[in-house]
Amino acid sequence: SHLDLSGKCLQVFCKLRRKNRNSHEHYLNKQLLDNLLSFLSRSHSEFQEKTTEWTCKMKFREIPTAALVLGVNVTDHDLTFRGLSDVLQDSITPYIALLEAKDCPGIKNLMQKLMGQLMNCDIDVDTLEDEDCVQVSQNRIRCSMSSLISWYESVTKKTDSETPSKKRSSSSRHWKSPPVVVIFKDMESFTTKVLQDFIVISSQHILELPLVLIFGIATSPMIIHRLLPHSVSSLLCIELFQSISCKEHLSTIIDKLLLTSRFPFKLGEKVLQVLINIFLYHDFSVQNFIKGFQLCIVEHFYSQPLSVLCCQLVDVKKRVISLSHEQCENIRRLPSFRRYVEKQEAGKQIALLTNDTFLKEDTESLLKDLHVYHENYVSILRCLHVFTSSLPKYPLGKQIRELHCACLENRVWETEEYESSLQLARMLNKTDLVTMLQQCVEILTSSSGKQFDKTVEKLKEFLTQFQNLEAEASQERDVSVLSQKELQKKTDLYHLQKTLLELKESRRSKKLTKFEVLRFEVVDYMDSLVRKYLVPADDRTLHEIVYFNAANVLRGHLNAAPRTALHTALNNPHWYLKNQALKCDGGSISNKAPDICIVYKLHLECGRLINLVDWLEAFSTVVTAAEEPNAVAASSDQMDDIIQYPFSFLSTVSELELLGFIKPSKQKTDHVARLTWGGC
Amino acid sequence: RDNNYNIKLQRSSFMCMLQRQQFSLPSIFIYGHTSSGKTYVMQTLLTTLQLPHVFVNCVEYFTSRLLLEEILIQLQSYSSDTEQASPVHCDTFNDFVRLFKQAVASRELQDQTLYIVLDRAEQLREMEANILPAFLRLQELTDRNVTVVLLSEIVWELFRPNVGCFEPFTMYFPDYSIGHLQKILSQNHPPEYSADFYSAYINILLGVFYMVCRDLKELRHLAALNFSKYCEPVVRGEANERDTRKLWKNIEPHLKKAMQTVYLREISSSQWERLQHDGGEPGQLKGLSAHSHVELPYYSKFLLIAAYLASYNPVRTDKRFFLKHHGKIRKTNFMKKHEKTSNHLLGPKPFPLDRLLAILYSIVDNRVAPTANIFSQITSLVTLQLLSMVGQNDQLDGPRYKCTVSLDFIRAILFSLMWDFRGT
Amino acid sequence: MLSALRFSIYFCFQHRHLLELLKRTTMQGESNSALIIGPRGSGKTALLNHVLKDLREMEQARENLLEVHLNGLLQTTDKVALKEITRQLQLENVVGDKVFGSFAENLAFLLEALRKGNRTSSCPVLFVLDEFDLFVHHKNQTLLYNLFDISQSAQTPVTVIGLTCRQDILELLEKRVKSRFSHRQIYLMNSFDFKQYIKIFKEQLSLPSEFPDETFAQKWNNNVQHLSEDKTVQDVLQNLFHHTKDLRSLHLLLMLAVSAVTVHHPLLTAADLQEASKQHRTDSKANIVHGLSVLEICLIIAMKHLNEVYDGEPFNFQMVYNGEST
Repeated sequence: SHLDLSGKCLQVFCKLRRKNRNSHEHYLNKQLLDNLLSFLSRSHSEFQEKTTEWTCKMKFREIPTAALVLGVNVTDHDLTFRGLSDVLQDSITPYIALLEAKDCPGIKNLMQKLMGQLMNCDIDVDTLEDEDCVQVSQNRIRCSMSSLISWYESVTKKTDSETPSKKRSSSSRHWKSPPVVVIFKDMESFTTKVLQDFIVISSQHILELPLVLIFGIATSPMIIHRLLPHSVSSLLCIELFQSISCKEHLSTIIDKLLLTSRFPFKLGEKVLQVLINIFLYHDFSVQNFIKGFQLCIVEHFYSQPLSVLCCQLVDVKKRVISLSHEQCENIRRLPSFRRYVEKQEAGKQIALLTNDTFLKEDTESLLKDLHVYHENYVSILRCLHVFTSSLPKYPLGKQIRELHCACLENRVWETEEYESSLQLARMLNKTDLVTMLQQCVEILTSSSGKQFDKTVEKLKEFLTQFQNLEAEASQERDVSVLSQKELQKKTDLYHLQKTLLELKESRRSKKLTKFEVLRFEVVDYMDSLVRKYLVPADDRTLHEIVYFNAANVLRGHLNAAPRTALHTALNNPHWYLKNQALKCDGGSISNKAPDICIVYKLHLECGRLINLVDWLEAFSTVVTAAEEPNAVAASSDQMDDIIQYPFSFLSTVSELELLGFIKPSKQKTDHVARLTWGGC
Repeated sequence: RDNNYNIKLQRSSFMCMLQRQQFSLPSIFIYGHTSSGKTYVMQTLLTTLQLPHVFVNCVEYFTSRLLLEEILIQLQSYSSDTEQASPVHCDTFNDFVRLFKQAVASRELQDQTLYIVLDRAEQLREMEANILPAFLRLQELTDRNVTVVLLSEIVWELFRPNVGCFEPFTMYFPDYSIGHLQKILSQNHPPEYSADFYSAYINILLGVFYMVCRDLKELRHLAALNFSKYCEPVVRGEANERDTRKLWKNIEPHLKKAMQTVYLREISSSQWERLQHDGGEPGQLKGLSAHSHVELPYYSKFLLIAAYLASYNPVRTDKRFFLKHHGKIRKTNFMKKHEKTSNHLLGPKPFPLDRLLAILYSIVDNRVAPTANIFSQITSLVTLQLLSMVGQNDQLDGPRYKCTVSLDFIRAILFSLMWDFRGT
Repeated sequence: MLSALRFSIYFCFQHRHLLELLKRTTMQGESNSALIIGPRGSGKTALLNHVLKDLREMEQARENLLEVHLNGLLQTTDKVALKEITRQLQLENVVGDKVFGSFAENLAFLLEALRKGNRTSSCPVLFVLDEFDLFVHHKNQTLLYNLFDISQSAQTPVTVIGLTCRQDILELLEKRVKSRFSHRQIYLMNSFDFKQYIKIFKEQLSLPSEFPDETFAQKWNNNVQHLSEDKTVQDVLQNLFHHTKDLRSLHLLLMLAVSAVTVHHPLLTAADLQEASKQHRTDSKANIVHGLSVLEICLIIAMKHLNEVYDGEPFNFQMVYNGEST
């Protein structure tokens, strides 16, 4: 069953992976890549086509450059660039070099790296020679632009003459002289000198070597001006491309992964909050978010024995039947199941608690209920989001993920925010309301749940009613127009105020218009839907099987606190070592503790500067203290003890230095300085 | 082409010097501003006079080895023997002198002076210390009839090594006056328009750009970019070629716009052309500087603010600003030291990591645990060049940082934080 | 660059001294070492070449001297230097692929090979080290140590002549190297006065008697004589003389002036010289400043101003920018 479990886990994993990749590419490709591709294909063809024209002759030949602003989530960039280079390879050019700042401290390294990547790509394509051979040839080639140019000439000539079958990159897809694309992955980290030199060199050979640069920028395109002086940036023809913001990216990921009933695995509110907080507060990295999500899956399948049942609906029956008695007992122990049992009549209670087959049958139907609940939940959540996202000030949050969290947390209709958003919804104007209703109809009809036929009907009914109002509304409009006219007539302030007050009074006292009545009805209906379908998952029976809720575990994994952990380990060794002898109360120091813990604890009591001799003395006192309780007489041997301990003492002191707690002080030779502050 | 004009401007003495074949100067140093025609004149002279020469750009051949090998390779092409394929290996200047002698000996034109032109010679200073002095006295070292010509944009005084060296014959290429620029630029007008028409256009162009730019290449580029706009009224038949006033009115604001956008590379030339072609307003396209906003994670914002405070506030004010119960600081004493210059003018000062964290804890409302995520954010801010690490990268000694962002940037962050508060 | 005549006049003492030294090496097989010290352009190399030329003209010396010329600019490490010595002594074949333990062994082997090659008594070797001060920076000064060491022990007659422009050269030598040096120093100074300077000027400009067109040479030389008496020319020369006594800069000045000579303008005039001097003395920084755009000039002015305000303390761009915009 363990094997089965891990197999299941893997299956879900793979599915998610594929999903992620697709969505990732899809979203970045759509706008950004299309623009980029058209830019790249445009860049050099212009010159090739009309070399005879006067402007082209007069114009300075700039290096086409794409400034790609990707946002500060540097960890995600790798994937983006990989996707980008794949796409480029498919459609524009086989000659792509990806450069990273850490590989290019000087222009020499940059050229080496560049030539290595470009020429390698050729070797890879047509021959399968040894690695060594490539290495040798690389060393032999002079690392200069002229050899790069001769390489380019030979390569482009070869593709012309060669039979297209041999080469993967046949000339049908690429032009005769495809551009050479050089991607600078992290523009910010490159040194000015390297970039300047490279640009100056390559701009001199732009006619022989059609180069295109892509700057990967994490912060803002201003960095180009900061890194390059005008004399260099004037050699470039820079166009800006902006990728979608990472927050939008997160939204789509959440939309695809969480707000769907396709995957049986779900995140609990706390866990989701942890993941989102790490994203928003710390790194903006979608990659890390997905990794956290994957960790949740692993953790869930690993720690929850009943996660076998967390599977697609079609498999449920098979799995439930194959449950062992032990697993049935596990189900009975689930808190949500116990709550469920308590609500049943006595006979059924006994059957559930004693009869495994009965339990299995019931479990299956409960799981099916849970699935249906999810389907409905997602659709209604989206409908509710349609309403809340257009309210002023967004009392329930602007993003659907905020709404989702609120609904997971507790009964959303009991919250203040929900109350105030209902109030605001009651003030919506007609056109907005109609469009929202239409959106809701769309969502519900396209949803997989089949229960919504009635709801759709009801909503459609509302829509027709609104249409009917149209005719009646015109009459009302006349009234208001009239009063408006009156208003315009009054010119002095006093009268104006008076009429305004009167108008207000009349409105308040006036009976609700038909539109207002209808609006109330719509809002109330929505409210009823929410109460019916958006019940928090914690209230559902067997939710433990599909929901991962161990936020603390996740936090421990993802948001580690090294300083705190180190302090705990040194100050309270029992925490990690689980040795009863180490358990100590309060501030006392056990002599059984490792040397470093003793030394650390002693150093906590010191000030900014620590006298090494005093420290050693204190150390030896602690170590010897408990060894011989009756060693009062042995005080004469104390000096010997001190001589005995220095080795272990000094080695622990240097360990502490390595850990960054102390450093040698220049003020006094026999003292060390503390680098941390505060006591125990 | 156009730059031929420049040769006339240069002193004829220069040509005399080059033409001599019996006696030659060991080295000539030529300096002058960007695009004052140094490279062009040199190249044209050497090719038109058919003097044997080697032309190397020192930026392109960035190590001494590459440079020396390139010179030898170019020399090989002069030799009458056809066996050119032999690869050249030249690690030191000693080898170079030997190989150079061989290469020159194999040529039949032995009595002619050979010219070695090193463009962007300021790069030579970055190479080994012996390269520059050795090139300057190459004639003496090789005992051959050779002249080394150095071209650079900076003055000779900045080249001279501290122990001195053989002084080259220095020569200045003066920059073009506005009149020269006018003449040179007007020389190649498009074939479909008259020279006068184009010259009037150049006149307007220089009127706008001469204040900021004297670079001939750049001006020619700008002229080509904007000419179609200038012709527009003529093409549409609204004005004839003589109608200078009308044409001026049409082009002048356009050029001013160009100065703020294309010239600074805020907008690329191709975008600019497309814009002109479509007849759109230049305001539609936002330049690079318009996208100065950087979206940052929540704590990164606070970290940056804390870093900014730590960089620009003196340490002794920390207590006053960030502690709830601080003692009073005597104002007179405090102000005295900082009367002279504002801290903002002096630039950021380095601060230790602990101070940054301490300030962070006091400016963030809720408790922040010193988690790995916070520390990794600091390093990622360093890689983004928003903070910079000062001194050696020693974790044991406690790293020190500097905040490199401007006040405006911090203001924008503060604004976005305030927006967040209001939103929630 | 300088004529033979000049050496006999100005450096006759040094010339004699050096010649005597080398003669003793070649004829009596005496080892020695000497340094020729003098500022750049004072004629160190010329002096040495001149002496060597004289030496080669002597019957006994011609066959009996091997020369090794090293230059600090070329042989940047001792390894390169040793290779070069081998090459210049034409011992590449002898050395072949042999591997030596130390530098000294290698050098000793080279000199030994020389002895075997010829006669029983070995041929004296003259080492000329140009830019001597650069050899000082080699690791452990191995080359210098070994050369001086051999020149002290009398096994092979070796003379080491160093040429340098550094007056403090002896301070740079390591103790063990210094103790092996003979401390023979020959100083070359531009110690002439203005009258002699004028004479040199004339000498430099005059056409030699073997010039093909004799009448033109006559005319030209007369003109030069006139020029040397001209007040403006003397002013120009005086100016240069006060600036530097380096003859190379005089040479450059004359070069500039002579390049104005054409077929239509056959004789040099005082105005030509004045023009040349003007060009020669132009301030290159002023030249560069002249070509700056308005904005750049503004920044420079602001910087200059700040430099005065802060009394030479460093300032940053932010301050300059502030200063400029106000």
